[in-house]
Amino acid sequence: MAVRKKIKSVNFGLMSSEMVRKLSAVKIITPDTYDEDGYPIEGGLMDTRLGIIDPGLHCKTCGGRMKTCPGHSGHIELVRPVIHVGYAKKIYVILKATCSGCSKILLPDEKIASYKELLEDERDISDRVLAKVKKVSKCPHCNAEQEDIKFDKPHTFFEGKRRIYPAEIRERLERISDDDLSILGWNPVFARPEWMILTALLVPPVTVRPSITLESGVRSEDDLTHKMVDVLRINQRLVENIDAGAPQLIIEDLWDLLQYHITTYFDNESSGIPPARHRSGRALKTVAQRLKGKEGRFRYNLTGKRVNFAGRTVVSPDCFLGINQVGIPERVAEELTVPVGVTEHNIDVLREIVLNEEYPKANYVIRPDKLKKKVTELTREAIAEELEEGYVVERQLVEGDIVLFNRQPSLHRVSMMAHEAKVTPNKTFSFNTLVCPAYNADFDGDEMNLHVPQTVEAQVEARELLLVENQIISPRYGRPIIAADEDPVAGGFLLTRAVKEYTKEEAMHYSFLIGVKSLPKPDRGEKYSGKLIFSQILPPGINIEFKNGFCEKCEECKKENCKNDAFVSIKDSLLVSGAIDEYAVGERKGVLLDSIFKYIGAKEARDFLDRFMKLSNTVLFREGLTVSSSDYDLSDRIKEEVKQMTQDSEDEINQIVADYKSGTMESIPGMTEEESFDMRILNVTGLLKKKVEGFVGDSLFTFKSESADSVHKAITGSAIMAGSGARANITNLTNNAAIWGQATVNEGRPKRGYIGRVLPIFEVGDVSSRAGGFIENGFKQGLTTQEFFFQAMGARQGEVDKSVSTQESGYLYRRLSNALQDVLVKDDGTVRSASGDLVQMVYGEDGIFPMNLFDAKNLYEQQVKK
Amino acid sequence: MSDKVSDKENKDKVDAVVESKVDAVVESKVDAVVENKVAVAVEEKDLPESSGKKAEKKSAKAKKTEKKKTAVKESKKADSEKEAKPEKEAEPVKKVKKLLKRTKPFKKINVTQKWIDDAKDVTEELGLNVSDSKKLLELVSKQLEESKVQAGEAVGVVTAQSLGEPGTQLTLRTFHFAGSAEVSVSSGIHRLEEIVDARRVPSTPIMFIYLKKEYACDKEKASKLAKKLEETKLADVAKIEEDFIQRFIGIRLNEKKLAHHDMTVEDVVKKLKKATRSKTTLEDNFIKLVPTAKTLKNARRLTKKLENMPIGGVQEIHKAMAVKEGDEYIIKTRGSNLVDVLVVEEVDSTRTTSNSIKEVQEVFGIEAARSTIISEILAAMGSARVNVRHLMLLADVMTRTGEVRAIGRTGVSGQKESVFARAAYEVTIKHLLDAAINGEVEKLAGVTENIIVGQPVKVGTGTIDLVMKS
Repeated sequence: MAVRKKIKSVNFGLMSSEMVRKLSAVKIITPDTYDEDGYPIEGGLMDTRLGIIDPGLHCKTCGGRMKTCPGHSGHIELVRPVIHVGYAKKIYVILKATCSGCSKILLPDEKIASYKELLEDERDISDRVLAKVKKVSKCPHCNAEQEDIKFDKPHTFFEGKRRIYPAEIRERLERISDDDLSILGWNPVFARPEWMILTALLVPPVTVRPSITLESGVRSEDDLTHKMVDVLRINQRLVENIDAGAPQLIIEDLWDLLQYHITTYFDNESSGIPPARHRSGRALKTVAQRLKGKEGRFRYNLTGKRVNFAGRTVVSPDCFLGINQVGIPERVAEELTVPVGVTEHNIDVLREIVLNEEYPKANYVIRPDKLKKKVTELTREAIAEELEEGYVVERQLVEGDIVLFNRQPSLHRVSMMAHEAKVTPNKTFSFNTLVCPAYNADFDGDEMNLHVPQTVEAQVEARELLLVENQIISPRYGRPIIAADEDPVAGGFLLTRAVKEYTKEEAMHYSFLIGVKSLPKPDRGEKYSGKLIFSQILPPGINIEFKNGFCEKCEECKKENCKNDAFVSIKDSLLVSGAIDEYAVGERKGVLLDSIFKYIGAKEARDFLDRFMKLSNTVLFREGLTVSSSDYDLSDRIKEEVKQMTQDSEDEINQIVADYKSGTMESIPGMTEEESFDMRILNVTGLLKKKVEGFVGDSLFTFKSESADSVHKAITGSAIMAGSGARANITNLTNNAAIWGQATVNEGRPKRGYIGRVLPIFEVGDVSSRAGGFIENGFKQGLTTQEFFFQAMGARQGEVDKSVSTQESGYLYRRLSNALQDVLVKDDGTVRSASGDLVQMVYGEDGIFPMNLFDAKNLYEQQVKK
Repeated sequence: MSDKVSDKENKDKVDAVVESKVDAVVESKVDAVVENKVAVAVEEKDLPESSGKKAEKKSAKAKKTEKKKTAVKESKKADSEKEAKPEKEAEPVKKVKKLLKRTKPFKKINVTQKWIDDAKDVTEELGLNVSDSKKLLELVSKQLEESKVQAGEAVGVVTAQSLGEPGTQLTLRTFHFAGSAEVSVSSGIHRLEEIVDARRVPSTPIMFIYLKKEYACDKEKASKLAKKLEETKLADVAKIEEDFIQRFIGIRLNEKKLAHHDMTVEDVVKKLKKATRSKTTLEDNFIKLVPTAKTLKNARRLTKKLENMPIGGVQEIHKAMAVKEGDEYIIKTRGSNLVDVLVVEEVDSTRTTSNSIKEVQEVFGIEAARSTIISEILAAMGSARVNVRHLMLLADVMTRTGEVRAIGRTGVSGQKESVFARAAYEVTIKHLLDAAINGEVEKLAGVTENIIVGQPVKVGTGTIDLVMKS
């Protein structure tokens, strides 16, 4: 069912009044729409020849019914010509360039001839011609004096003092020769200037402006219909007045009114005129407003389309699903269908499905003549009997079907991936938490969308290209984006710490979980090390060395004997040393995951992730990870040290304050005194925080300072989380345990508040560290009231910034994707835009796609060293 | 990112392609059946390049010539074998050959001695013997081939997503002071917007002035030069007062501040004389200037003019300081004026640059602008990691026409050929009206256009058609 291109190209052009008349099915003559019986009036705006919007009626033009008749245009014969607003400016330009008497370009013949020659190699010379014409005051062809033409927005023209009416303008424009037009940059085949002045107005089919019947039975017309009624009324009055020989003044007034209505019919927001309004005061939504903007036709309906075979509901986590899977509620699965063509091979199976009374049923059957039959209790058996080759059965979604899963905002390509369906008795979509970072999903009420591809091509494409396992690596930075985060990282770390040993029972439990059938030989006497258990989930053929997050970057690496167990070495798929943390399996960092994907394969990487998830989560379940307030207890020595450092910094700040007050402070070049004062204090407090962080880190990660035989022994829950990269970092720990540091608002110390001070408790003019937002307590000790306020100031700003930057980056993204969306790699390896313009000879200077980036050192370890 | 290098490579590649075409034509006349082999040989000329290792690139060139020889040899051999073949077959065979040239056949990787020699420093560091290094090179070359972009890949969209998605993570904070002595740099999303918009003047224009060898290592000299470059106005070094009774403008010079800018009182007097043509008298750092103007208003205007009179340094350079970078001193400035700084004797004009993209384009050319775009975006993205290739693509799209174009309706998006794409983006009505009078044709080549008319998009798998055997 390959879709073939149907539209080759679309031509744009102006419509002449003749064309409008030709296209028209009806000449609209009366402003009335319906008669007393609610039946459309002939020659009215709802004439049945314009198309049908009511069920049951037949179109008088094509005979079609509501669904088959596309609608037909009509026209209104305008008694006096009227300017099209959108082109008023173009008319002005042409009037200026041509003679008022003979309508030739205001340049001597030889000049025109020379421009004509130019026309052959250059496309647009109109600007140059116009610049030349400006100075001419006498026509070189007929010697007529040229008066200055003035354009009064939006659609009034004056020649000298005399107003020129559209009828006269139209006459002038008609006289311009095709040759002259091409010099002015016009293509007379598609557009003649006089066509910008309307003598017949196209009336869109009723299908474009359907009226709705309210509950009370009153008909409510579309804005466009309202506008056309206005036009018709004025047109009629104008006819009557002209026929009655009314004075010129009245006729001109009515003419202007007609112009106004037609102007607002096209664009109700054009500057210089008041927008046409409803009785309620709401401005009418006319042609331009329909197309324009985010909710306009182009962006809302044409570039964004609504689809069938889709579902949406709340999402929940389920770590026992594979990353490739998505749990689908049975109720959703019953609605969504997959079309299956009947062949001699599957006819029996499909017949059974059609006959099914319970869940995996068929919802519809489509006959070869495209007739769709609903399968119900009554029709079930007859349809099953009728089924033969060439029929298509729309059967309900079953386990193993491929579906597309998406969360908005769809910022990058992993926001929409293919999953395998797994029908569950729940009411929510569920999926493995490893794919959360890709969708940026959490489970506090997020909803996600699901689509079922309907053709075999789409299904295969989804499976081969969009399946989660094929998207593990991000094309943005070439490292895993579908990777362990939070819990599994902590669990993996707990499992693979050097000290971890498991009994045979435990080892068997874990092995069963990950589908290992035969236990390896114990490596710690009777017991099994966590590393050995972890090694069971590694695919064969992994050889890799790297350093995890505990590495202290010693001058000489002790490798396997690292006291922090920071040297991860995997030999022939056996974890020899090192603990598994975010540097092995985490987002962006996961070297191990990266290597498995790139050197072994996507399936193996997926399998590794699935099993790692099960294993590490179970470890967490069984062993537990507790965070308690005592995690943040510092030893007295460290406490004293921090206190001393804080005191020192405060002294330093006091000195700066004193200097500042006495005027002896040296200001930083390029800054005012106030700025430099702030900057100096911020420097001091920033340094202090950094120093404290070092101390706190040493204190809380106790295992670091102890001897090698006790690696990772004395370690708290909080330290496990921060150390393994599961959650939190050293700054968070410091905030809790020691000091919070300087609160900042707008990159400086908090300033706004009361006169001369931020909070009323301080004296006016107090610029000391405490009055300037320095928070010397941590959350464990508790913040003072003032400190609490200062901290909240910074936090609030962060919150505001977040929402602002989301908006700004949204617009930035829209611009970027609009500019770059057509750029793609052609068959010859060059990068080109849609129009074929060359952007790059070779993509990215070397032709390597970032998703496929590889590390030669890794490659060496993996393949050569062994 | 060395643009020159990449440029040259591109040229080389074009040459290579042209060469191979010529070869192919010549050969096709001679022989008719060995097409397969020849095509393979020709293909092999187009060698994989390493992502970073120049050494391998060089070796690739060497290999090209080698291959050519073997190709010729082979064709000759074949020629003698199949001499009897009628010439008629040439035409269809040519077609097949053309096809073969487009589809890359699997090639056996041949590690040459040259490769081994070129990669010596790496293999030695890893402590590899010859056979192992051969193995590694083979692997690297194979992996490289597998890592190439696939035809039809929507690299533009990937780039847009890579830059757009981390947008929310970027800092909103505009200024970022790294330490007290540094020049403030705007970063984060605002800076990214600035670059992408191709604004004339960045909100924080900065120059990186590199110095010639004699000055680069001497902090004293560098600092002195920095002071010299700073734009100094008269008001910066003097207090200006008006004496309405005696009708003169008094300028009290601050000697300390003058010295700071490496100037003397005499310098100022000279400058004053040149600028005002008024009578000046100097006594003890105090300059009396009698304005020629008669009215009070004009005298006041002169005072204002004097206050803002540049008496030293380079215009637009509001602040300059010597900073150690690596083992040399460079001068970072707030404010940018390449034209005037480059002519300063001490400045190494080959390395000095600015973060103002338009200025770089005007002074150094479009390739320099391209590489400035790349490095500036990289800096603005901060901790959000993005592969350079995306930035290269963006920079290439922006600079393709030889002029820096903005991303957005005034630039790249507004200059698209497709009416629908422009109308769907911004200023819908204007584009539609203009399309009508210009008789524009929508060719439906891009993404948006085809979505609008409801057709498959010609991207990725949409670039090919599957035809089933009936």
